[in-house]
Amino acid sequence: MGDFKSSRDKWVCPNDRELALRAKLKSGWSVKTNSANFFHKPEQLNDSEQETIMNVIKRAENVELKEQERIGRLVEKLENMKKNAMGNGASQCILCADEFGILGASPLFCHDCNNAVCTKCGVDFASSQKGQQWLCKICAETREMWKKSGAWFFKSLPKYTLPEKKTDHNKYGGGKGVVGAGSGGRGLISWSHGKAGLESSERESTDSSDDEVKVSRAIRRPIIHNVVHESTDGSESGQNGKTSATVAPPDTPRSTIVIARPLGIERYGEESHIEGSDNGHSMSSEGATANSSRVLLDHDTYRSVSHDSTDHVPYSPSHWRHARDWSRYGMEEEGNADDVHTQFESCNRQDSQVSVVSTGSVGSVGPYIRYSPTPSGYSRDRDSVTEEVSLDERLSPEDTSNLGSLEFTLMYDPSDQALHCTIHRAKGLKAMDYNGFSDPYVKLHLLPGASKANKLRTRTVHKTLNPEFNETVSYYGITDYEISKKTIRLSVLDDDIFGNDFIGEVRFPLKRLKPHQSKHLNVYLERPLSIDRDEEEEMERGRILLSLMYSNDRLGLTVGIIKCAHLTARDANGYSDPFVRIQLKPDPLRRKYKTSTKKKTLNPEYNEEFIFDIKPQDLCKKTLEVTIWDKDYGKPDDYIGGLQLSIHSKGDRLQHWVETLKNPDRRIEQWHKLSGVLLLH
Amino acid sequence: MAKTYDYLFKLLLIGDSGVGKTCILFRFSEDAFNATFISTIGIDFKIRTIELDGKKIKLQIWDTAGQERFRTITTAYYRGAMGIMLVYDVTNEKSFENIKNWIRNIEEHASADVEKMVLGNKCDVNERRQVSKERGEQLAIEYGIKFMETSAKASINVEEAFFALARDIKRKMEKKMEATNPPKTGSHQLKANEPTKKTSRWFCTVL
Repeated sequence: MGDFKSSRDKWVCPNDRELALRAKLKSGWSVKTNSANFFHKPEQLNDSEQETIMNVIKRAENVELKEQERIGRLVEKLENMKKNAMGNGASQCILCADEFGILGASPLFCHDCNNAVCTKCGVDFASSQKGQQWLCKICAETREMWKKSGAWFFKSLPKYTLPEKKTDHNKYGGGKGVVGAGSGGRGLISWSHGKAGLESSERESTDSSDDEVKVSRAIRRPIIHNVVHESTDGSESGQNGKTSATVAPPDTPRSTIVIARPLGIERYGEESHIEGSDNGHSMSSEGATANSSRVLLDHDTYRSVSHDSTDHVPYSPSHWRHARDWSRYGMEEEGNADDVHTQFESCNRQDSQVSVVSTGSVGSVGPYIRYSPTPSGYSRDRDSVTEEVSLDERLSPEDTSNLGSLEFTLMYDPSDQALHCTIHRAKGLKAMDYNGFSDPYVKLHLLPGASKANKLRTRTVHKTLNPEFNETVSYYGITDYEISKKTIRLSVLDDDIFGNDFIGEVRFPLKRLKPHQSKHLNVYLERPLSIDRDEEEEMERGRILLSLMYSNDRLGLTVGIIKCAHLTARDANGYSDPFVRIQLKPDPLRRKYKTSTKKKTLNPEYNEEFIFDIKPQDLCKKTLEVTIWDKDYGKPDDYIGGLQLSIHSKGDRLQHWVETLKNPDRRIEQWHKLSGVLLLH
Repeated sequence: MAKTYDYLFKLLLIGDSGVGKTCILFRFSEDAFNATFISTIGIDFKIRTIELDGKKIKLQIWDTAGQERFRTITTAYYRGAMGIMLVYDVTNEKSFENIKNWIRNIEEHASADVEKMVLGNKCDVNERRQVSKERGEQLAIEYGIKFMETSAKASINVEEAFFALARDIKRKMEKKMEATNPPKTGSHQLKANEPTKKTSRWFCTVL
């Protein structure tokens, strides 16, 4: 420290104190004041150092941007959920609007928002203090989002970028979903206002003008909606726009503000918009928002609308006129951008009683789905990459049982890792209720591994055999691998207070989807396969006792196959003839080891060991794959189950693997559950 | 396979110059070691995604320069960190004594909820050891912080340390989110309290 080399300092006349100090330091008199001043001011950095730091900051900014997009997607998902909520939370389930009656199930009350939810839409969680509690799906998702975004730590939602639109809302007041309050000062104020209006939801207008009241009235559930946009109300967004102009002018690289916002934390408090590139101020990006929502909204009139971001006001359906006025107003009066936004969202909600296709889910996650005059003519349009793919495929009915048919569209977007499923309608469903109708809804699962976690559902359309759903539900975080492996199952069920009746189901392997291309399907429902077979299969494939040891002397990994238990029977005699195959992948030599085959048993004991010669530093990059097969003569062996051990494994498997890596020359034994996923070979 | 993750944890490495912060990070992120000493300029970060209890956690680990002259830059990164590794060198008494100063630094600049951990690095070099493991443990107990002796060179405990810190953060997060979402007003007050606390403490150090 304190080397006097800096060349950038100016010569300054030293003061007495410094002169005295120099005498003490015996550094001579030709010292620059600034550098001698190291107790107060750190030394200036030279150019190359500055550049290095700049590069790091730029790199960090890229990470930050990606993170913002990710959080944007989370926010989007949550907003969609909120928008899709239909009940009033008192006499109806807040999400699916099922009435709670004397006959019906008693409502559960969400721990966070106190709204009533049905068992289908509630998620129970065990709190260590108070035992079992319920959360509505929205609040559960909100909590999850708080975790995922890091808001739990920073006490407010960090800045995020809504997908595609590049609109940045930074403070997202609604901390706890429906009943959450804003954490930031402003969010708090506007939210408390909204809360007051919770009871009188139909009348409440918060702090907006009369025009908004009209729209609010038309919405069935303005409460949720308001929470979403409360923090971005007009007065603030005015500031947003201005600040963004000063803080980050469109053509100035953002990285010029050095150290001003490390880790992005400082930014949380800052009111700025991330400009995509050319959006000079918030207005234009809001305009884009408006456009995307419009495209979606027209769907019930089946008008094809051109997506044009320069033209802001071409609406014709009557309920849009109102919003149009607003958008004009917004265009002239800078600062009301977000109000306009709110208006569009509001109208969207109004519409969404018919179509739950929301601005968020489709508009934001990349491709907008457009409905053209005929239901089957289906096209997709991407904002930036203007590739137009139109795909219409009607599967011929295979089985003409009178279960009915389901029309839906699937679209996989790898860039957002989202799988969008638009459920259009079902036709000619089988009547399940005594009144000759059904109350159908569609439930979606990804197989294998169906669980509550990957279940999505549409709302219920009551008393009909030809329900119009027109609803888009989306899976997020879907990887290419999952697309190649998983099958989506759409089950049509009859919503019944005394348990749901299965009407029929459709399965579609996702690997048949091409990225970015919509797949439109209209298929006959099939008879339900046993509903929970997949889940059970996941559970009951058996277990294996493995031992692992890395030997430093021998430079090899010893894998011991000790025994298996409770394997699934694959042969007609109720047993299997199991053998175990192990592989250390990736392996250019494709070395494979096999144990002996044990005949007619579900609990084979092998006690066999195999050695993979490998250097320790290579081992941690490998995956040990253990698969168990049923030996069949004259036909391919049946797969029983398997597992993979690597640093990318989970839970026990990871532990076993890491323990092995960390403790060379020690033999570690562990039982593992077999998974049913067929591993790649 | 595209990379996704469930959580993003931001970690920070601090400690005197030359204790091996960069090497620890290099070992963790690249599983490699470089014996030549290259002083970190200002700040740097590395990313590694780990998996804990089936959740993918992206760790963004910030490496700071130990040198005094970068202090302004490095301290700016304290606030965003969810976890901080305090690193000292077991062959360097001074770096161990300075841990207290680093902790004070954290108290000043970092978020109150930050998870901390002390690492005594270079534990493979026993012949030149100046700080015993017991002293390290003693210090950790004193401050109520987890402690581990590591060696980036011999790859001892590096992985474990980061996993432990990540696990602590995750646990804290779950506790916090489970704790029946604290009323927002409460947390707001808490926030308001922080600056006053900070200023008073700042005064102390100046005087």
